[in-house]
Amino acid sequence: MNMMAPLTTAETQLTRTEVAGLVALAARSVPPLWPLESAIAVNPLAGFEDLPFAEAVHRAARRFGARESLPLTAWRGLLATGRIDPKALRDAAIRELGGIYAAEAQVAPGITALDLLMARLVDLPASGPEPEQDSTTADVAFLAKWCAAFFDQSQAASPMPHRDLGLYRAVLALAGHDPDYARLTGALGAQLLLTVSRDPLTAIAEGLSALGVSEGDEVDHLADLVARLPGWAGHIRWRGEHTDPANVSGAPAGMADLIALWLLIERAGALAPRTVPQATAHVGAARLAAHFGLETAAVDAALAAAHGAFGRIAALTEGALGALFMTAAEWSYRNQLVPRLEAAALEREAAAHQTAGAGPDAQLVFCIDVRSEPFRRALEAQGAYQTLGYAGFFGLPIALHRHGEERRKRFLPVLLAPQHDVAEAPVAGREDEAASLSAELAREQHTAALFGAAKQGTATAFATAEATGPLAGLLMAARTIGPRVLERVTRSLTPDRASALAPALDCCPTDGQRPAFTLDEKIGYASALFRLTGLTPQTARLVVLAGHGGSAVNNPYAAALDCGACGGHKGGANARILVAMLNDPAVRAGMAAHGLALPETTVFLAAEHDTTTDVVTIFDRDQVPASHAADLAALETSLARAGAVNRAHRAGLLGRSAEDLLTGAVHWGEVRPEWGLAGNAAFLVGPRDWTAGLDLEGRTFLHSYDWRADEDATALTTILTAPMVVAQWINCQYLFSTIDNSRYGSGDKVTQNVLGGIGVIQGNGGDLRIGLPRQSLFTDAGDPYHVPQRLLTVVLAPLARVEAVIQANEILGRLFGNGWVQLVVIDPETGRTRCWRPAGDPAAEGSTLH
Amino acid sequence: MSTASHSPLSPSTGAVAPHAAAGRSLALVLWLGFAGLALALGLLLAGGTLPAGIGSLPGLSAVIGLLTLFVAAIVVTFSLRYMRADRRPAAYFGGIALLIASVMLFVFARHLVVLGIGWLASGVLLARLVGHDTAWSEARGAARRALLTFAVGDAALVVALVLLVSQTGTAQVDAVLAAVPSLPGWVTLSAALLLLVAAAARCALPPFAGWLLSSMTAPTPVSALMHAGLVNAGGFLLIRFAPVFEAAPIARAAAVAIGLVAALYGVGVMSVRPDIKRSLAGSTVSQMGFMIMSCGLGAYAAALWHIVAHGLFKAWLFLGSGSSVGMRGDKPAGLGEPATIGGVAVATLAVGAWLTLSPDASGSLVPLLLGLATALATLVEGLTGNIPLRARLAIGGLVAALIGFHAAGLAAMHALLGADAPSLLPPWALLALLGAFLAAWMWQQLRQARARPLPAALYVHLLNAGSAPAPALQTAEI
Amino acid sequence: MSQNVFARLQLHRLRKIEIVVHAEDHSAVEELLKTAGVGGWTMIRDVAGMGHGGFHQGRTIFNDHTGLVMFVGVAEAAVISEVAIGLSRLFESRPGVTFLSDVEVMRSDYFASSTSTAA
Repeated sequence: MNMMAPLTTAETQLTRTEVAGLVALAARSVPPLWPLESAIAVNPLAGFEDLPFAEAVHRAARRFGARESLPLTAWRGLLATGRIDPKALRDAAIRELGGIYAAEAQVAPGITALDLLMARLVDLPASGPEPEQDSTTADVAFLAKWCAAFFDQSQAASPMPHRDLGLYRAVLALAGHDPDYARLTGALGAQLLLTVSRDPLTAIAEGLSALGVSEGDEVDHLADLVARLPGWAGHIRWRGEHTDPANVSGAPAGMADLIALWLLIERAGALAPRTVPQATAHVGAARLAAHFGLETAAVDAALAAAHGAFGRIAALTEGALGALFMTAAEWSYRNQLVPRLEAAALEREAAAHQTAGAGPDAQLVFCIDVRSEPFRRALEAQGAYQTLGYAGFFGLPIALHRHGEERRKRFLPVLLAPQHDVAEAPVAGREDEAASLSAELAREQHTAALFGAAKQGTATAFATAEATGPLAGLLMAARTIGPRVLERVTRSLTPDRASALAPALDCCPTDGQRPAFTLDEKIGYASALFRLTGLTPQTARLVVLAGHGGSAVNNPYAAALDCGACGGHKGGANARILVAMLNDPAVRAGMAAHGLALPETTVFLAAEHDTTTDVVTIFDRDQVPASHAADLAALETSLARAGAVNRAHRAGLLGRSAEDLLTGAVHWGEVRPEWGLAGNAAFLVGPRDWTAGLDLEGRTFLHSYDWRADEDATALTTILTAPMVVAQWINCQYLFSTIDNSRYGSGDKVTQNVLGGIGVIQGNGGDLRIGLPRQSLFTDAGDPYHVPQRLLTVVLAPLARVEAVIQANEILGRLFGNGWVQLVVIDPETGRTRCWRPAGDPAAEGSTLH
Repeated sequence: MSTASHSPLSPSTGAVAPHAAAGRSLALVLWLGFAGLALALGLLLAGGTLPAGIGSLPGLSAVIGLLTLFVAAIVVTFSLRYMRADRRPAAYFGGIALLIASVMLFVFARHLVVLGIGWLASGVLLARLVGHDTAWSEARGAARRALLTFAVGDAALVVALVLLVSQTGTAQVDAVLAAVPSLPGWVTLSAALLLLVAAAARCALPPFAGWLLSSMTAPTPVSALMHAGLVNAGGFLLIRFAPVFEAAPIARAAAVAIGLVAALYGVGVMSVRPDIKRSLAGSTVSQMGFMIMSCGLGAYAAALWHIVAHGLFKAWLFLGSGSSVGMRGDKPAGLGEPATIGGVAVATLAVGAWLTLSPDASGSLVPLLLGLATALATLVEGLTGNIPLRARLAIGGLVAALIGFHAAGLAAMHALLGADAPSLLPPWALLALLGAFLAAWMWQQLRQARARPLPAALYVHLLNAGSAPAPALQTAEI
Repeated sequence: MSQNVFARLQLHRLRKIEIVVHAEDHSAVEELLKTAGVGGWTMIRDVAGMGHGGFHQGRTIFNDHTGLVMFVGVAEAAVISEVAIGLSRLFESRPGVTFLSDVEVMRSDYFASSTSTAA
């Protein structure tokens, strides 16, 4: 910036704040990485979202040493099994060649450019077998080892010395004792260890100057270093930006610490050369010619003529071909989805003039999660039920202090900071149960602590193993052969947590005085449900808010099956809190004053949908008035039936029996209790009666929205800037974890090793792993179950309104304009459908709706 | 969905894959084998036909066989789900089947050649499973490391067996062992030391610990099987050849020394590791050290019970290692107040001193007294915690029940194995050994209670234990 | 108010920096302020306004990481210059604006610089 120019000093070495600025920029190249106990999906390429998608993938591949797309063989497999439409692939090829005329142009006698490209896509040999999981280089192994020791949050009984000094200084203090350091850096390293600055920012300035990194190149240089350990760098970002400072105060570390260590290694000349996977797949023009049986002379002529199309197609990399396949996958999906949505929109418009019949027996609000859709469809088929989609945290930005846990947990989307602290308290009339639950929790914790200490003790470890061995043998057999029996027995021995404890609204746990929510806040959150989903105040006798969570045991990725909108936790608590507000007469009165007068006969209920077993648990059943008992009984019957239907359907997708799904949910050896959000493909914004008639295959996020009730576009803005952004993160996590599971994903579950209670490493060491494991994305046979494709957002709203929202929110311009999300708008008034064309799209002049 | 052909989510795992059926059959065979062996042992015991005595040991073989079959049956059943997406199911289930067969071979062998073949085969098969992910260079490296270590140990075993056969003129195990007392001293000493090397390599005692501490490339169930059923083969070897050791007190002393070092070293490794699996591996090194030490002291029943109980304990922890997600922060992990620990240690030593006054003070004293210290410390801590009385009583009951299990197990092993070996060490040396454990324990607990870190050099050494030496990096001139 | 009132007040000359950045960059700016030694600052979320990028909408309901935030910090001139130098690097690739001005404050102890951690 020009105005800053006079302030820059002429010194060769940067100042600390300059370095801090550079470090902040370099840190953007990796996204934060949440600990697995509250796993959150993030886009591993979040730092590249300023770029068009293709460019971002290319640059990230270079920076992270990753693949740009699935291997060609995998794409061809998807084509062969019909999951990609051959016609869509052809269309994508034609667009790549610059349109139908260019595609049909002859590049050699009787051969068109399209023939050549299609041959490369589907016929010609692809590159060899899977590149092997690369071994960790010595520099990465060294730093990963120390990061692991430093950031450990539960495992080691003897923690790393000097953690209070911060990562950089603590490692400096120990590196002198470490033969790995000596081997890695030699005499130069030993010398640097004595002379290098102890302040990480100053050390970075020294390092940049010593290495002669020229002005303007610093950020790239530092970002490349950060990207060498994306897992630990991401963990550092999480610590700095997304957790309570008290949780990490004992071991302070910022990105500058990690970068300073990298620069130390680089200055010692010990940085391993970066290996970028070679985009080798381009075949020689000769090979391509041979495929078509062309003579050498003909090839020479072809190479010379036809504007080099021959050579250009031969030179396409496997990444470029993969990108065409991905476009084809997206088009295959869009071409079958959008016409059905258009037809449904027209039908709905026509039906709107008919008089409405009787209202539904019950209304149920589910999370927008893709796993809600098939369950909602199954439930709607059971009776007069209306379902809605809303972000699963139900609009409540809370941190929950769970009973018996020391740290508060954030039950909200990571885009938000907690505004309210809520604690669990005994349910009225259940104090005895709560007390015995407390005692039970205390006993469990104390036993665990005792066991942990005894098995680590130098004198006690041996007898502990001998004494617990027989019991361990029995438990092991029970968990392996009869996990459901064991689970039933365990459950019968302990009081039910959900019926004994509930989130308390009246008391804020941090100061004990204030209520967690003021009346106005309660009215605000209660009303938001109506404003954002288009739910009308003419509510049914029962309105159920259903959060969701998965069931998995002994599974480091269990939280990845829970509700992302609740910060990677089960969503029942949020549902219970909003239900308590909505059943509060004072809140109802306040809502009525704002034009939302609900029928007195409406009772709100909280529930939790178990996405692994498809069992829906209803909370606080005994607080339902007798007048509604029959309604509740009917609803519960329907929920059980819908659960059975959906379970059977999902069992088919998992290749197992419905009964086995229930076993897998409690079995300690199960690595794939459910498919999670695999297959996610679209985000639909509109009323449910628009989509209710369609089988959306559990691939769509459904957010309820009524454009008629949103004149100022507040609801639409909120939906697109928050839930859709979360959906895009999820989509990109699945996409990139699939295309390169060893770089953007966490690899095979069976060799993972849980580290420090935080996350996993592979085998003996290496970086903290990011993304999803192989079992969550690929079938047992190793084929991709999740087809990598970008999110398709379809909005049912007037064109002008959508355009205005995009104009006013930069993040949307970026996501749609750079092609991270594809947008289709169906205008309910004109019935016209428009696609937003990203910048740089060959078929468009600019980034507008056409 | 209008057309099935377009369905992107059509299931691709319709029929049961053949490997799943094979895995299921293997699990069934293992469960049946376990049940059959248990039945046979029960009948033998009931009929009172089990010959006691260290020389011929159907009891030892049956116990080790039962443990191996039980853990293998659990591991294979677990793997039916856990390994569902494995790329090489035939190699996996086939490898485990062969591995168990080879263990059965050497455990039940009555001929030294058979024993040797079973032992050698089990090493190779185990190393292959450590490197099961053949597409991963780190896994191949870990397999190679295990194989090289085993090669050293196996060579020692082969030389020992050849020596014994050539000197006794027979290859029947029982006959060889019967002939031991008549062998020259250098033969028994050499054979015993060589057997100790073989055992130490398989048990991953220092200096052979590296292969086990770097074997986390193995799929989790393989680790469970390895830590529960394979590493303790060393203990089996020492008990099987007990007469050889009893004829060579120097070798027994060496076993005590190497066992003590391993026991303390392993605890150190366990306490510094931030990852669950290598922490468990450190624990295994320590437990194996303790077990080999017990063998050296002649406490065979205690050693055998340790093999069984630790095997179950460690398999359980390994299979459950996916549960260790969750951040606790920095909490002291000590077992009670330093004063309590000190009191327990002093009381244990006092009981030890009193017991050593009796003329028949045996090597079992050390494991027994450490058991006493553990019981005292956990009971005191369990009963005095700042939790409701009901919970404290429940914990006290649990600890008492576990002590009961422990005692019953020990008694059963005594019944199966008969008398321990004559005591190797004089009473004061036994007390000193006990004192070493208790002193190390007090230092550890005091440090943890005061949140003091380990000395830096020691910490780094323990943290690096088992890391494959990283190749020095050439300054890139490419 | 008469001149006398001002004369009686103990006023201290300091520098003020105002920074408007994208909300997603807020932690980077906080890091800079801390590094330079600014003891405290004010942060205003959901800043709306018109700029060369068009109109910026203010409030979004469920996303703290979109929109613009504004930081206001006051400290000694040298410290504020440090912040500005650091920002100049941040602004090489991130959008944002900064205003520097002289201010007078009444309670200077409120604006004491935090001790720098430089070794």
